[in-house]
Amino acid sequence: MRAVTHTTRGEWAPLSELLTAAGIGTWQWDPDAGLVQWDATTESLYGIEPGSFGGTLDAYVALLHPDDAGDALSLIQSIAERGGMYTIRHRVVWPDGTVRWLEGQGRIETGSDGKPKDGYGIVYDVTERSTRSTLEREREELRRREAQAVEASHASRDALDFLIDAGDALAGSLNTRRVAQRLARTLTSGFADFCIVDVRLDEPHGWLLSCTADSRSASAVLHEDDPMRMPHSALRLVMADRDPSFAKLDDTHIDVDTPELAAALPADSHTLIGEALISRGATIGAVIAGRSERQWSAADADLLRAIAKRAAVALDQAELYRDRSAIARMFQQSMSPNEIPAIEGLDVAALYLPATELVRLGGDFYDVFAMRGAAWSLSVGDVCGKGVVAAGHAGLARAALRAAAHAADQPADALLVLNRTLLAEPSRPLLTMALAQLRRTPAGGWRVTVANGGHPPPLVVRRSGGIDPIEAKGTLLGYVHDPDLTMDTATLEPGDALVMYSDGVIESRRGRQLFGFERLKDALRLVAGSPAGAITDSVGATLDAWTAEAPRDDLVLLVAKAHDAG
Amino acid sequence: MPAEIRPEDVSTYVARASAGDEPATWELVSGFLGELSAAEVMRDLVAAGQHAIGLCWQGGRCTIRQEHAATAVSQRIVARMMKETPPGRTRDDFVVSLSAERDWHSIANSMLHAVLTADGWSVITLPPGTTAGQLGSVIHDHGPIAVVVTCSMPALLPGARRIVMASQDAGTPAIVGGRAFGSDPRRAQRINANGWASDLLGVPAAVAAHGGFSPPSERIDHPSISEYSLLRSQLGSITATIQDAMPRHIGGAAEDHVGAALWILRSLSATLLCDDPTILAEDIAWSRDRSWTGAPAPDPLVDVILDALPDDLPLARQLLMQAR
Repeated sequence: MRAVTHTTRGEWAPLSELLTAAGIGTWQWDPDAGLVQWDATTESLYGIEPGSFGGTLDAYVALLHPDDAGDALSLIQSIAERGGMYTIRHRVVWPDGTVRWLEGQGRIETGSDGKPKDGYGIVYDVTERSTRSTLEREREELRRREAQAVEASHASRDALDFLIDAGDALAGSLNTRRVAQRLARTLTSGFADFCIVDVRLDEPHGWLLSCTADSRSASAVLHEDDPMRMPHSALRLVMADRDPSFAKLDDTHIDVDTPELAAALPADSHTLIGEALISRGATIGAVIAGRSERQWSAADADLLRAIAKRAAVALDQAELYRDRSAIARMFQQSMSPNEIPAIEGLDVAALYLPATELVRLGGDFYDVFAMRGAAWSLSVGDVCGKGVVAAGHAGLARAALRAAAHAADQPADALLVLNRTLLAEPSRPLLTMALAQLRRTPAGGWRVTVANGGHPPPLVVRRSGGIDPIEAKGTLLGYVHDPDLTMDTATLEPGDALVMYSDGVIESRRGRQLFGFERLKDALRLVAGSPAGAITDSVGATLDAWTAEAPRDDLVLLVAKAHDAG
Repeated sequence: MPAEIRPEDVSTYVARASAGDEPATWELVSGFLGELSAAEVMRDLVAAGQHAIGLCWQGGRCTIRQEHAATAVSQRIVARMMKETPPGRTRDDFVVSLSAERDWHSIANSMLHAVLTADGWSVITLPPGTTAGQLGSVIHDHGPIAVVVTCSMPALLPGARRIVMASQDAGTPAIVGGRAFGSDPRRAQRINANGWASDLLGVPAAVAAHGGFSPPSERIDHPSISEYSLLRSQLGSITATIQDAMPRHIGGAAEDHVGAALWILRSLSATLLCDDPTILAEDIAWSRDRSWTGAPAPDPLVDVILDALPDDLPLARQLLMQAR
C-alpha cells in the first residue's frame, strides 16, 4: 500500500493516478445530455479500446453478460429515477470472449425537483473474489446433490434390504400357509402398515387362504374359507375387472370405498396398492398393501410388483411340493403300517431307516397284520432296486401278501401265491421276504412258523441272551415259477423276542468292513430281554456308531417280544 | 412329601427304574406331582435319574439291560405324567422336536414332548434315526414355527448342526438344548442355532422367544471350520487307514479299539465344528477315567489317529496332541 499511496517524493499523487494504479475506473453521467463518460481504466475493465465507449445505456448493456444484463439494467433504471447510492456486481464479456466480474459503486444526485442532475461512480474487477464465491456456491451445490444422492442411495439400499429380506422369507418354506404368513409379515415390517395375502388352495379345493397382517401387532393371522364367504378378499379386489361390484386397484392407489373392504381393514387406512400373484400364467392369489399416513410412490409399487412375482413362484412351488408330498405319503402308507397294531401278549416295534434323504421311501418294507384264527403275520421284505420304482413294487408286494396270507393256512403257501402275483406283473419285481406267522401257545408263549424267500434268517433272541436263527430256506421271489420254500418253527417263551431284519442291517459299512451277522448277534445279545422298542433303538444306535458318519443303506428291523411272565 | 427332590430321591428312582419296577417308580414320581410341576419332576427326577443310570452304565456299574429297563420305565412314566397333566392352554402353532442326527437318546425327546404339550403347544416328535433331509420334508408338510433339537453328547454335535441347517433352510428357527451344549449358549451360538434352552424347563420360553421364521442357514465363520469340512470329507479314508493300522498297534483283535478311535474322531470333528477344545479334552479325559472297565485307553488311540490324519489338518493334529 505504501508504494501506491505515496510517491517517491513523499507527496500525495493526484487522485486519478492513484485510481489508475489501483485498477479502479471512473465514470460520470450527464443526465441532461443523456451520456456517460468512462475513463480509460473503465474502458479497459470492460474490455474495449480507450475512447471507444459509445456513452449510451444500450452501449453499456451490450457489454454485459446476457445472464446479468436484465438485473443490472433494472437496478440502474430505478436508481436513475429516484437517485441515491448503489452497488452493483455483474459479469462482462470481452470481445475475445473472456468473462470478468466487475463491481461498481455509484451515486446519483437529484435536484430540488427530484430529478437526477448528476451521477458518478467507480468500477473495479472482482473476478477473483467472485470466482471464489462461485466456487463456494458450486461446492455447496455439490454438497447438496451429494446429500440427495446419499438419501437416494439409502432409499435404494432400503429397497434392496427389503428385497433381500423378502427373498429370505420366501426362499425357505415349501408350506403354502407359512409362505403366505411370511409374505404378510415381511410386507408389514416397514413397507406397509397392513396387508392381506390371499391364495387359492387346491386343498380344500377352491377355498381361499387369507392372511392378514398389521405392523402394530406383528402377527399374521390365517383364515381359510369358501371365497363366497369372503367378500373382502384381496383376490376379488385385485381381480375386480371380473367382478364389477368391487373396487379395482390400479397401479397407484385407491380409496377404500367398498363397505366390505372398509370393514376388513384398520379404520385409519388410507391408501392401498395391490398386485395379483401370477405363476405359470394363472392367477393363484393376490396381495394388497395399505398405509395409514405415508403415500405410495411409483418406486413402492415397483417394489411390491417385484415381491409379488417372487411370492407367486414360492407359493406355486409350495403347492407343487404339497402334491409331491401327498404322493410320497401315499407310497409310504402302502409300504408299512401307519401304526403297529396292539397285540395282546406281544410287544412289537419296528425301525425303518430309508437311505433316501428327503422322503421316507425305499425298497425295504415290513408289515404286521391279523390273520384267521387269532394268528398274526409279521413280514419283512426287500425289493430289488431303489427309489420310487422300488417303493411301488414294495407297495404291490405288501398288498399281495396280505391277500395271499388270508387265503393260505401256511406261510410258505402265502409266499407261493405272492410269487405268482409277482410273476404276473409286467414290470417283473424281484424280492426277498421273510414271513412269520405267530400263534399263542397255551403256556403263554408264541409259536412262530417262518417261510423265507431268500431273505436273511429271522432270529430268536432268548431272554437269557442266547440267539437262535430260524433256518427256513427258500429262493428269491418273482424269479421262478416253483421256488423251493421250506418252513421252520420256533417257540417264543415269555421274554424272548423274534427279530426280523433286512440286509441293510448286516451290510452297514465301516470303511472296508460290513457290520455282518455276528455283530448283529452280539448287539442283540446285549439287549436280550429288553422291551421291543429298546431293542430296535439299541440296534439303531449300534449301527450308527458302527458306520460313524458314513451314509447308510435302507434298513428295516422288526422286533416282536413275548410278554414277560406274570 | 417334601417339595424338593433330593439326591437320595434320584438314587431311589435309579434303583426302582433299573429294576423295571414301574409301579414303585410311579409311586415315587407321583408323590412329587402335587408339589412340583410335571416339568420340574421330569427335569429333577426323571432326567436326572436317566443321566445317573447312563453314568452308571458307562462306569461299568450297571448292565445295559438295567439301563434299557430304566429307559423303558422312564418312557412310560413320562407318558403317564403327560396323561395326568392337562395342557394349561392351547396354541394355534406347533413345534417339531427330535434328537440330533445319530443321537439315539430318545427319552429327552419324550420329555420335551411332555413339557411343550403342557405349555399348550402341539408337538410332532420325530423318531430317533430321522435325518436332516427327512426333517426338511416334515417342516414343509406341516409348517411348524420352531424345531427343537436335543443332543446328548458333544461328539454328536455335527448331527445337531445338520438338523439346525435343515430347519433354517426350510425357513424355521432351530432351538437347541441338551447336555452336549454345556451350561452356556456358546456351543449353540457356534453352530448358529436360533436359540438355546439351558434345561428342559427353559424350552417353552425359548420357543416363544425364537419361534417364527428363520432366514436360510448361514455359513459358520470361525477359524477351525475349514478343517472341520476337510476332516469330514476325508472321514472314509481316515477310517480305513485306522482299521488297517490298528491290529499292528495293539497286536490283536482291534474292533473295540477302532470303535473307540472313531469316537475320538467324532469328538475331534465336533471340537472343530464348535471351535471348542474342551470337547475333545473332556471326552479323552472321560475315556481315560473309564479305561479300568476294560474300554480301550485313549492315548494310544490318539497316536493311531495322528498317524492316519492327513497333513492338511494342522489344527486337528494340534488339538489331538494337546488332549493327549
